[in-house]
Amino acid sequence: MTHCAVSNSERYERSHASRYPLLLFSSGKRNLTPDMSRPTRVSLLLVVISAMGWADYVSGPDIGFSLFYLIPIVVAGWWEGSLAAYVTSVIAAGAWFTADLLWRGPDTLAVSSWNGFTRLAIYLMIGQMMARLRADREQLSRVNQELEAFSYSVSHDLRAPLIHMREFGEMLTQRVSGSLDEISRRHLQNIVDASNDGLELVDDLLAFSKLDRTAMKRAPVDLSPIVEEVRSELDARSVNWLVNPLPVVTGDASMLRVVIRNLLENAVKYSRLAAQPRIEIGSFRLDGSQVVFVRDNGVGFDQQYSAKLFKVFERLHSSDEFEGTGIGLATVKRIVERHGGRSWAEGRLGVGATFYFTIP
Amino acid sequence: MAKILLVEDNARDVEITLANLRNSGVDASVQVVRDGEQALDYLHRRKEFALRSAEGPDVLLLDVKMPKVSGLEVLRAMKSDPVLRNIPVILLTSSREEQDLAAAYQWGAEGYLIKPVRPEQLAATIAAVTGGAISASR
Repeated sequence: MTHCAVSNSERYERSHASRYPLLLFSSGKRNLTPDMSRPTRVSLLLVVISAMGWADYVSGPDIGFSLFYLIPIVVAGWWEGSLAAYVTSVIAAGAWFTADLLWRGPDTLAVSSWNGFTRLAIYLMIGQMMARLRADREQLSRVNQELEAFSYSVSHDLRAPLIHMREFGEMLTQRVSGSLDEISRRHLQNIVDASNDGLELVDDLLAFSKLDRTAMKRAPVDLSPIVEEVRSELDARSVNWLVNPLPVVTGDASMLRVVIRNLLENAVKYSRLAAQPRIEIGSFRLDGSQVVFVRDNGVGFDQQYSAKLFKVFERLHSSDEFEGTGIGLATVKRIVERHGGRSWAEGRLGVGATFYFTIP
Repeated sequence: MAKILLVEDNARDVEITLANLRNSGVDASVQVVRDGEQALDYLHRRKEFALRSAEGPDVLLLDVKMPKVSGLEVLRAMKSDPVLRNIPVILLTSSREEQDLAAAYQWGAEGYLIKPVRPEQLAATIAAVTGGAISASR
């Protein structure tokens, strides 16, 4: 028995693979058993069709879909007049339903032999699959458009009230802070700070949500000048920097800049309480790919939580200790993954942390 | 006295921009209209009476997201009009969408500011796009 899988490399198509049948071809021997009478064939056909209908009724609203494919197969077997063909058809239907019902794995369909009808059935099936794929793709692009509109709206409508709170808070502070007592002044400052935090969160979230939707522009990217540029933007005068030569990688320059920026910002932020903050940036080769690392001697973290670090909104410090939204490292991970690379972290509480990423 | 036309649908944003202009010491009279349609009406009415003389604004502060006619549409209409195209336009927006920024410059905007805007930033941009015709007095 040979089989061929209708497989797709795209992730989205993979997630839909269970809806598309896997084809199984069998070279069934013909005419091993005597011909069946016509009524037997018809009733067998009806049994198969009703079984399919029932199974589809249970498994989902796809009756038309399976009938459409299986009928030609059954008819093909019938036309050949071999019991083996019927049996195979029935097993095929059974296998399909079982796969669909029990495992929800790749749907399975067996055809008795490779003749004109099975070929036609398979062409029809492929045609139908393509149509479904097209429909799915259209739906996906529609959903993407809606998401685009949604994020546009969030970007504007959620930022606006936060900006208003901040601006009016500041204006109020300017007007009355001289005449306010200490507690009232603190309340006012909290309002301004909270709206600032909200703004930062909205901006980070929007940037994060865009990562999957923006097209990547791949080109050779020299990481060293990016590190220099980002360093010059950071307020890190007290930091003792040790910058080793970095490789030229292939990737999206603006996305890689975000990776470097997030890692350096983190390193500066979490080492600011150290007596002498020290940040080292460098690279080495590991299993054929370049690993870039950023090491600091800051507060570090407990290694058992290292996986949590890269999850969106997961933080190991309260925002009172270290400000932040919990999106930075999730962004790093997402960008590195889109480049086909990997990111991880090593840390020790009170000693420091090292963040690694590879760009193959 | 130099004139600024502020096109902004949100009352709070109007107040903030006016306060920013005041705080940065921009010396100009400000006319406020509340959406893109009104802005175009206003501009076209003044065009009849020779825009560049006394009546027309020296600079437009234009919000992007507004009901009916958006700021980008106003910009596009202005920049394809032989008279109105000479008025410098600064877009003011709460959104950080890069598509808006790209469209604004493609259609000929002179400036683009993302809110929150610092008073000094607003004054400097106005001074830059008007060639110093409107500048902060302090």
